[in-house]
Amino acid sequence: MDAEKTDEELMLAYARGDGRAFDALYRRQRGMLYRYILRSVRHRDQADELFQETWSRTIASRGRYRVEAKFSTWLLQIAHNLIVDSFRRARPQAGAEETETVFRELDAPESERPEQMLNEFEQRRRLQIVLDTLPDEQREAFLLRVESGLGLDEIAAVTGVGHETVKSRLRYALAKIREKFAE
Amino acid sequence: MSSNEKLERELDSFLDEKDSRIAVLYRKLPKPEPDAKLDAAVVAMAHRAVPTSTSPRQPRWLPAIGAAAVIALAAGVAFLIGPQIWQSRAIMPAAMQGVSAAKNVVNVHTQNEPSPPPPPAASPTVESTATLPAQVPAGMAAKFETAPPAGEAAPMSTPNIDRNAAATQELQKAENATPQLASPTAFPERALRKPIMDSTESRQTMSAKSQAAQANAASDATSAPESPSPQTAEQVARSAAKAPRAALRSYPSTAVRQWNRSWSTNEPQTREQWIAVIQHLLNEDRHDDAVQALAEFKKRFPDDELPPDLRDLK
Repeated sequence: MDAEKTDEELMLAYARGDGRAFDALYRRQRGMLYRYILRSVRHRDQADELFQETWSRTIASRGRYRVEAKFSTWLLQIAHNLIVDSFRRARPQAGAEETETVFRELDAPESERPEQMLNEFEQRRRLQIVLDTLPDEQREAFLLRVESGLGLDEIAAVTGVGHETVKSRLRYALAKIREKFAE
Repeated sequence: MSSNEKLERELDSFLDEKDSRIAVLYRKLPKPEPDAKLDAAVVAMAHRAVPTSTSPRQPRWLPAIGAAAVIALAAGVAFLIGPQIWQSRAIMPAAMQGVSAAKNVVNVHTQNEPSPPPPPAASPTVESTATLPAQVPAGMAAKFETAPPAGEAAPMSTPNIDRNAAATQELQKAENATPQLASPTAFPERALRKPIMDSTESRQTMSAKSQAAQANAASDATSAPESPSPQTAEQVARSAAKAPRAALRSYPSTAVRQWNRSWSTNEPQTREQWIAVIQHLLNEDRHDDAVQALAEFKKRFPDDELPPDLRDLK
């Protein structure tokens, strides 16, 4: 019966004390949220911590939940805030030199690269490397789009920026990936 | 096509998820998930926040319905049993009142001997209520559906009841033995016959005519009273001539002829009949009988004025 309910209905049911509604909601959102967090912070331990903290805040805020947007947007917004806080707290922004090193490696002649014979596995691996080298805002916008399936407005709502800013971030992210990876 | 235009097209394709090579490649990436320990921790945290949510939810109306059913059952039991308990409690004082009332009745009967017959003491209702509580526990009395009235019930004191019943039986025996007492209108037969059969003094003073009449009356009384003799008819005719005509007409001639046999069957009913009978007795020189009849007349009609010829009769 819970399978027929939307995420928002399940969250409202949990807010009224229905624990089974939370179980159903958690099963739906756990993978998407975890991957978003893990690929944002790139460290499993940190991702686990932020994942649990995201749900902790969701549970604590259940009484204040209102159906003004998709539940996933609300959930990712919480996770986003935690990720940003973790970036500011633990990890300095990747410097231009580090980024240049990665791209230089990607831009190396095929003869100099051991991954000339890239297969699909290698392509996925390279994509992961490129994602890691992206600036946080661009990577987050990319992940919210491709992992969570959010639109521009929803990404804007989660990240707290404007629609055009999100679009610009995505444009830059794709350009870097294409330039350094796709071709 | 410039690089900018190509980038814009790829961005639109990425946003629309149409032919986005990058998106397809991303979905082929491994999909890490939280481990079971992390899942358990999150779920436990969520259920701790709402502790009662893990147990199956019971309908809220179930306790209310149960309580209402219990109340209704208790009310039904009280409705069925309550009146019987109250009746059993009310029987005790009512029974005590019944005992005192019965005692009073006995005293009144024993003091005023010639009185109307008392109510039957052996009626089934009185018997059952009078004897049952002395034989069974008091709680059993609650099984009677109708409590007896206070005046009838005398359940506790059997000696008083026996005395009451004995007095009542004595009264009934007395009534059966002397019905003239129970019926004040009856004239004593023995008193009527006594001057005829036993009194020699009156017999000596009797005239020959009255002796003949008495002999005729006695013979009538002992032989065949139903067939009037011609002589008796003449006597009746004579007395009727002296008595008021209306009284003689209303009073049966056979009764006049048989008046000295049994007052209980054809006793005079009206004032005129009584006077006619008294005059008839005087005419037959039965003075004592006439005096007794006059006394009876005075009992019946104490306020009536006697005719002039009977005022000096003593």
